[in-house]
Amino acid sequence: MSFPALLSHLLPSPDPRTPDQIERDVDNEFAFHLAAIEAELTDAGASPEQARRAAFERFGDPRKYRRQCRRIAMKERIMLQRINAVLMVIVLLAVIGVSVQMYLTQRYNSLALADITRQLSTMRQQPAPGTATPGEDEPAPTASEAYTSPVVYVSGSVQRPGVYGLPGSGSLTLTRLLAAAGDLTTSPARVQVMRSLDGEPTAVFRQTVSDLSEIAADDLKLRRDDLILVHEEPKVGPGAAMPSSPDEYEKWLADWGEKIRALPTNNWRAAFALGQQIAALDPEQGYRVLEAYWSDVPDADAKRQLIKAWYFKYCTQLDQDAHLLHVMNLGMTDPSVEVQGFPLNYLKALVLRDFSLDFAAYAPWYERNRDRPCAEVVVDELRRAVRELEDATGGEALRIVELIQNSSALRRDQSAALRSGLIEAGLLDILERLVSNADAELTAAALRTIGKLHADEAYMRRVVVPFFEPDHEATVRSAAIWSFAYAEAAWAGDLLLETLVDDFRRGGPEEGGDLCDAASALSELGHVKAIPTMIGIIDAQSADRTVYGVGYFGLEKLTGVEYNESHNGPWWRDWWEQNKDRFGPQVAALPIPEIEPPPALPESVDDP
Amino acid sequence: MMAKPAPPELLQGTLDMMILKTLSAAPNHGYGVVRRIRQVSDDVLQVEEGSLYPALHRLEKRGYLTSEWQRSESNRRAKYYRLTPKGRSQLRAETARWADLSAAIGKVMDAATRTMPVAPGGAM
Repeated sequence: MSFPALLSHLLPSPDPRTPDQIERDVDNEFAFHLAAIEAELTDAGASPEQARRAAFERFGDPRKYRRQCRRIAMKERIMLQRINAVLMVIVLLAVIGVSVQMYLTQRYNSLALADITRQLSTMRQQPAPGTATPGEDEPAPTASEAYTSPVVYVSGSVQRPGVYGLPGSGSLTLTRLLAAAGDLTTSPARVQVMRSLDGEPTAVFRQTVSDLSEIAADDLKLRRDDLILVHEEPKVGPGAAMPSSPDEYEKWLADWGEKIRALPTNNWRAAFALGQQIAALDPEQGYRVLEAYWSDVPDADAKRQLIKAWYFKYCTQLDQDAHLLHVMNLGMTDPSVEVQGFPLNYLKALVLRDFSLDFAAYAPWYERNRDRPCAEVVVDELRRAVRELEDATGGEALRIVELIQNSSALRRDQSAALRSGLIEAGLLDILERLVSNADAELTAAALRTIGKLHADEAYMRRVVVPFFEPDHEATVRSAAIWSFAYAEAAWAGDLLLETLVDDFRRGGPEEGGDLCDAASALSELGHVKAIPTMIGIIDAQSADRTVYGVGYFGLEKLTGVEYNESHNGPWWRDWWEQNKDRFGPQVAALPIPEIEPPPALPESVDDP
Repeated sequence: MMAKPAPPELLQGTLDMMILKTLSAAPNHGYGVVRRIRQVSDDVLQVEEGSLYPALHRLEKRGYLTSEWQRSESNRRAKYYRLTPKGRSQLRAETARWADLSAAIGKVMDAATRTMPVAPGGAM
């Protein structure tokens, strides 16, 4: 029986007539009956009066029977009215209950908010345990400078936004924030601060925790809109150890499958965090989990994050033979083009093959290499690329050089063996030949690749340093100077500093674009001996060209002082006097040199 | 003068059965139903005639009867009741039940007569 039919069965429809109509019908019916009796008696010889009286006697009390008839006709309507009344009472009680609940919730929230505000206020008034007490001469921040809540992410998840025992006065710095965060993370590996600069994309400051601990006071000063990412070694939760019995293993595997299926869609951070956990398992276990539940990963973005986590974990640990190619193959054989994009890029960096140009070539390549140790495959592919580069020219040479330049083999944290392997394969010789070609783009790419190969001093002086000369094209010269930012070439510090001073004295564009390459390379090398000279340059010409080109690209990282366009020559001189002892006696002893400013540009002559 | 004998009381539920039986012959109004019952019972069954109407309305509500206003033989508007198929089924059921009941009562009465002690001195 359908629900409407059941309802009509349980609740018969009431009489459609109004109560007045019902009574009128009953009265008419009774009147007919009484008239019929009267007619019957009158026909039998009774007087009309006698007949009427007798009719009423035979009929009985009409009011009583009218009441009974009315009650019968109105029975359903009365029942529905009673049900209606009961429902109204229930709804009214529910509304009252919800209102009371809302009132109590609102009241609780107000109290909780007041409590949080009070606790925050208390925290701001107390120095955080473990943080350096700010100097007494440091001015307390004004209300507008009071610390708001930097959002801190730990491995992709927001952690306790804004609840820290922040110092009550002085600068809020990264070390203070991390100290105040206390148990925020047990094993932070790296800290990133992302910051938007006017007209520039987001700048990223990266520091390891050991770097932070070496900086005494003036480390990175935080701003309200900074985004702080704390990367920690992924903690592997319960279930990490693979059980040995078959039954327990099945359950263990199913638990991981449950975690994968439970991933929220459109949440790359959650997927990446889970990918890190899986990558932190024993490689055999982790790969089994990914392979078993790949089709259960909720969306393409989550699949990309799982591949990414595995790639970043193992692209610098090729000797572990951690199914790196097999995990990439999960993505490459995924039906989604979106998913394929990530392994395509990773394979390009790993084995220097761009399968996006010829996707059909991937399957046979994978079949040939799937059972070989990953490190062996990578080394073979690097050697192949070097061989191909040896005979390549023009655009093909540029393509291969850029592949090598962006190769995972040349990452800073990569095993030195791969870099050495490339050098042994003759790559430096080939690059030396390529830098002397006429194509500026190819020359620049070759110079940047040389920097990543950490070539020795003799090679760098012979091949790269000549490009410091100002008559070279700007992109080529910039690449030559920048190549030292990659190199571990302490010997080049003084050379770069001379270049910086020469460039300054030669004069250049107002925004300091000519100074930023050498200043950046010096800061990447950590050449703190350059600090007094850099201050001397700013002091010689306190203009945008130097304050920005040298202050932002050089001094900020070398000194830890946040860039500020008001930091001119006198300001830096004062700062140096107060802080130079931090850099050791040899550097502190260096004077700030008097540097001759660039010649003034001739007055422009208006065209007649 | 002999006192007028009181009309016999109807057993509970028998009025409904008699109404259904009366209307099974032809549609009729309330007065017609009463008159028919009196005629058929030789004026033995007499009820307060108004009591018929709650019974008629109840049977109509249960779906055993339908009603319709029509002109009567005296050219007055009267409400005519008609037996429905459902009412006809109900009549069959009640008739069977009544037959069982009256047979059972008859047996009891017969047995009581057979065992009644004879009064001393002759006939009752």
